[in-house]
Amino acid sequence: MVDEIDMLRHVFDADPVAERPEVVDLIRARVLAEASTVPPGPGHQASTGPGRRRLSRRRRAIAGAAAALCTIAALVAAATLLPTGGTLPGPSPAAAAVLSRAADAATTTSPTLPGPGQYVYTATTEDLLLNGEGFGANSPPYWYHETQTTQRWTGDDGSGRTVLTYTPVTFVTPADQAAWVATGQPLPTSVPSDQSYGPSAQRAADNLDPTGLPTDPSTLRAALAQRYGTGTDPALVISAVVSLLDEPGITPKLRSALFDALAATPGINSYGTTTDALGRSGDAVGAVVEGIRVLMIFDPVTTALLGEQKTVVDAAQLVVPPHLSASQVGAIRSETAGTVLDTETFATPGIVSSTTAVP
Amino acid sequence: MSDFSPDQDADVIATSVPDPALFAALVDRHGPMVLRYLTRRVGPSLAEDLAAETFLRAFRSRQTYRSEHGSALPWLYGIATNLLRNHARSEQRRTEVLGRMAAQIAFDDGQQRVDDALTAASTLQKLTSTFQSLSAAERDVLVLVAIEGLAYQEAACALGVPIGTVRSRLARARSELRQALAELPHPAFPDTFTNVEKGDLHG
Repeated sequence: MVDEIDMLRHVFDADPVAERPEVVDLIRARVLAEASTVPPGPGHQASTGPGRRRLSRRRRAIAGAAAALCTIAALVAAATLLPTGGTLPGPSPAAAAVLSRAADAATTTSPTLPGPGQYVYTATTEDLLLNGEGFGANSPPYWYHETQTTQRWTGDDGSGRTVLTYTPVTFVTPADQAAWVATGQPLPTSVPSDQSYGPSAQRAADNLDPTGLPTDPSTLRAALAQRYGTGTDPALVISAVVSLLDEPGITPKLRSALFDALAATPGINSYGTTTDALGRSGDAVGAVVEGIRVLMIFDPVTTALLGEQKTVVDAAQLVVPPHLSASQVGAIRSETAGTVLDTETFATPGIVSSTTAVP
Repeated sequence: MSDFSPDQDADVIATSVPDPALFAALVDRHGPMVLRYLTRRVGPSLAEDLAAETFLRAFRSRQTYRSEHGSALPWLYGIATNLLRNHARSEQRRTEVLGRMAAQIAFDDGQQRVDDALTAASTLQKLTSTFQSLSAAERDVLVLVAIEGLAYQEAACALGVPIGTVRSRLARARSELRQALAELPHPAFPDTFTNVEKGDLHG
């Protein structure tokens, strides 16, 4: 008896996939090209090591949250923010009020949409506190900052350009710099990129796609949990909402629903009025999960996204992946309350006439 | 699944930490499977880019690979599947193309009985549209297990979910497909498909 699985195989076999060794060779070449930028010998863990554990790249962390449970333990973005059990308190009345007001205000906003031949320009700057470590007992961890700027141009047909740039790293203390020198001065593996894409490519792989998301808040919460793997983790919900609010084309209805969905998420608190890294004033809501406070800052009038910030509030609660070395664990445990791990700021989107222009 | 032993994968990845170029061996081993998987889901053009991105991300994460998880292929499938999340429209277009091709093949093969051919074509179209309506999580499990041949444990590892979740998603997806097919005026599966090679789903 033929069943639905056999029929599905029939569909997928309708266009047999040919072996394409030439494509594998190209992939191999790209990997080798990147490998050539990493100095051999005593390795370093700057790119994916423990410093990346805290939702270091927001979209990547959301996208990889599920996979991290499998093998990518050091993308502790996920591990750090997974609830450890227990019941989260419901959203605070103050947070619910702030977010409900924003939801109302969002219904009157106008999405930033490009006309024919135009592009929406957005720019995000993320300052990360990272740590790296050489191999061996005499290679202590070192801490440094790295800033990534993501510029995006999105056309009305979905085509566009994404440019990633990085500032030179800065070390937290002279001792950190000395440790880095002792390790052999490994270079960060963050590689600048400049990618243009046509209408069919739609969007860069790291971006969350709001297509088809429901605008009913409760349904939307379920959709966020399913599509982006946020579960009930308020910090992951915040990061997913931040990513989606960063999409310039989302409708006022979806924008409003995102604030409403956040308002109904257990564990969300209000942190009053604060300023982002650029000094802009806005309302802050956030959640503390396993020792880290994740804040979303937005303009209460325009509902524009201003920033996201992750700060250690209780080092004892930080989750440390089991595979890290003793010195790495020690470095993480030595973090103090108030240490800012990740600061992200969002520029106001603008309309431009080409993928090289900025507002 | 791959013929390469998990130990070999773990060795390659471990040695690529101090000597990054050695990671290329993992591309040689698993590149064809990852490319095939992505091609099935989004077509050959986009699959090239996503396969490259899959290996680049794996390369950047190689220091955190945990050898106790066995073969690296589920890990790579997981990265690839995450990349697919933002290409839903491409996946939809690809599935539509496959559905039309499968229906045409069924129609061509069933020329001796036109009724059978039409039934086969409409059944496949219904199957395809229902597959598209499944959640991304259900489609992921269905393709990884039923098409790519991953064991339940491997799919669970790839998707970062418990094995029970794989089973329940697969059961739900199959149920929705069966229910949709049962709504057809002629729900019987056409003889055209009896030549399809059957394979057991394994856990």
